Amino acid sequence: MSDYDRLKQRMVGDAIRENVELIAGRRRLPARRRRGRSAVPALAWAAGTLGLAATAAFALVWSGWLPVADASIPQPLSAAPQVATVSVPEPATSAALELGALPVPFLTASGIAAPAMSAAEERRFSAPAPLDPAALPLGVRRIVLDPGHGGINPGTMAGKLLEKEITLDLALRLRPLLEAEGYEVTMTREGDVDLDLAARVALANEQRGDLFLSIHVNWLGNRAARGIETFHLGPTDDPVLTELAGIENAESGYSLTDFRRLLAGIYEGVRHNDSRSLAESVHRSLFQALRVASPGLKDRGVKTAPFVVLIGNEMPAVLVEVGSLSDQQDVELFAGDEYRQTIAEALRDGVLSFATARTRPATRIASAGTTARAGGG
Amino acid sequence: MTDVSPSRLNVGIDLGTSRSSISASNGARFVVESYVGWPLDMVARKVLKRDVLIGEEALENRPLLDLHRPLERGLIKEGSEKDEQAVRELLEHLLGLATSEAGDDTVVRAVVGVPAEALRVNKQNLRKAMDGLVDGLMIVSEPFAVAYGLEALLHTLIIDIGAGTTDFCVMSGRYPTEDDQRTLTNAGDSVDDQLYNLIRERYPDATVSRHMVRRWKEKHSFVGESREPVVVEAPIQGKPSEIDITREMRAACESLLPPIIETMVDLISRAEPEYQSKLRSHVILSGGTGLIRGFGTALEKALQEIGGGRVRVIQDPVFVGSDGGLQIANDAPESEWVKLRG
Repeated sequence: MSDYDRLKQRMVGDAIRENVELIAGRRRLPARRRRGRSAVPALAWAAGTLGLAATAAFALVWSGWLPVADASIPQPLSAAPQVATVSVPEPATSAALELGALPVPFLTASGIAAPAMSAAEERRFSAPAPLDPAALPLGVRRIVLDPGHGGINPGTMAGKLLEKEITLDLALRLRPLLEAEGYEVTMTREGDVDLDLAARVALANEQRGDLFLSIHVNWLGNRAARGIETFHLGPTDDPVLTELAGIENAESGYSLTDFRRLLAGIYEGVRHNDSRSLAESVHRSLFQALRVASPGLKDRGVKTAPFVVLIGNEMPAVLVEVGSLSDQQDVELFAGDEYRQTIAEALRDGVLSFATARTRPATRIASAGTTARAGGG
Repeated sequence: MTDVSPSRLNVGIDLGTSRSSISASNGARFVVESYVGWPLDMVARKVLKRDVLIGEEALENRPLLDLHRPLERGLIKEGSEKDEQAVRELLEHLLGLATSEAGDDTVVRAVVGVPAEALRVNKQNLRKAMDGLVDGLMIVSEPFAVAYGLEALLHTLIIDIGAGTTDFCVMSGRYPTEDDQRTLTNAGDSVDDQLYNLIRERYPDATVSRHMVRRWKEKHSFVGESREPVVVEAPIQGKPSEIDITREMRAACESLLPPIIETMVDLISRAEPEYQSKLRSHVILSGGTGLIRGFGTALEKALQEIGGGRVRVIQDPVFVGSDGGLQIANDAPESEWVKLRG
């Protein structure tokens, strides 16, 4: 057998293992290369330049490992691909120790600091199996809308257009649309008031919402750039997103200790997967609707970032940047009612799509009957 | 690597937003438009004499049908039971075409390609849709299937531009991880949308449909300088008229370039430094939308900015993914298929 055949055999083996794990409901932990330039410079930059210790610490923890998300096992560059069946935290040479910013060797599944263990000890503990959301087809009943910014915090602005006013208007348009579909809707603010991020999160949790939608309008430094993007909670090594998270989190007032507490409250399984699904649904609906009304609109994608309003929530949560006030075309569109209504309706459709899929029983697909066929090939 | 006995049939399936193809180990190869339609009422049922129509025939009879294009961005649309049923009909149809001469006791094993960044839940939905249709099922990333079929598993960047998605996959001698793959929604459908809007803007009196626009794109698409004017026929106030859409065609097609170039360069720059030049020299452009005239050249031009490179355009992309899937199915050890029951 040639080397190339061996390579093919190994890849087919990996593909099979991934499928077996999919069938078994387990998550395959990807064997990633460690990149020297990945998290450390971005985080050091975030911590140093922005002085956002909390953001940096959070991103650091995330980039280190989390057991059921996209945890990675560092591999030698030349190592053959491996399929991990246990969750192994980064060794002591991780970014955490290099930065020296976080005096915690690593976090446990619940996010609580634990003493360092040897690799052999670590491997004795299996990764907790992620819970398949299909096992809990719970309905969406209460939706929390979070219009970004407010009061003395106007957000981005272009001429007379202020982000805080646009986001509130969009939320006020969206509320009756969702109520008409039978949902209970709560808003973190209903007027031009300054509400800090912690209060928004606390309010959402108090209300026991089933999902949380934070509405924002972006400002993209590059004036040629425009588009929409949707975020759910997760790590990022993108310095631009780290900066954006830093800006959005600046008013949070959270300390490093607070971040640990927040992380301890995160059950990284159902909620994370649901947040991603919600982000996908909302983003898809929004982009499909807006690209018609706004030709040339760029799909900037569904992304992960450590926004405070996403961290603290105990429900599937997403943050949508519905446009960019740095773009003249968007400014003109946002000035009119029609575009805002289109956005509100698209957000409703995205939420409905998610909620419908979320409540769908796993066994819904009926067995196919015999049908006559028409040639199509 | 593995012998396939006569009572076993392996198939590779490329489930596409626009077209779906199947390649089978018995030599059968079929491509079907990814449309499924059910007669709207009893009258339509009587006229069509069928319970369900699939592919080109469904398109031709669309006024009489509840027509579905059930795959969105290469994935089963979320939230619609009808679309899930349509995917199953489509898969059953494809398998029926490929296995028409196989005996009832033939064991059928399938490898199906899905977009690179398909979520776990998407794959599970596909598994459910194929429940009972095959005896063994393996789901792989579509660009990986393409790379496998082209024997391009080392230092190669696959860019597969379909109708719903553009999939990127860096092949570096290992099974691709999330880091190695990207999916963009800038693809053939977004070109159609742009072109449709631009034509409507320039010729507000012309009556054009998205199907017409798609056909024009498939025939005349280009980036860069046009060889000749793109003149098509469309009714204006009921009168067949010729309209020049050269400018619109170029603008719509070129709208794909920035995001694709940005992602291509980003993926190359993330590769191990010593392999980046190899990767630049082995870029494979696949998929129907990858056939836009001048697209490969435009990508090569972009690569010049980072040291130069070579882009190979797959001229017959219809079966590249399904052929790759078939090869994976053939190479999977017999003993492993029992773990992959459909």
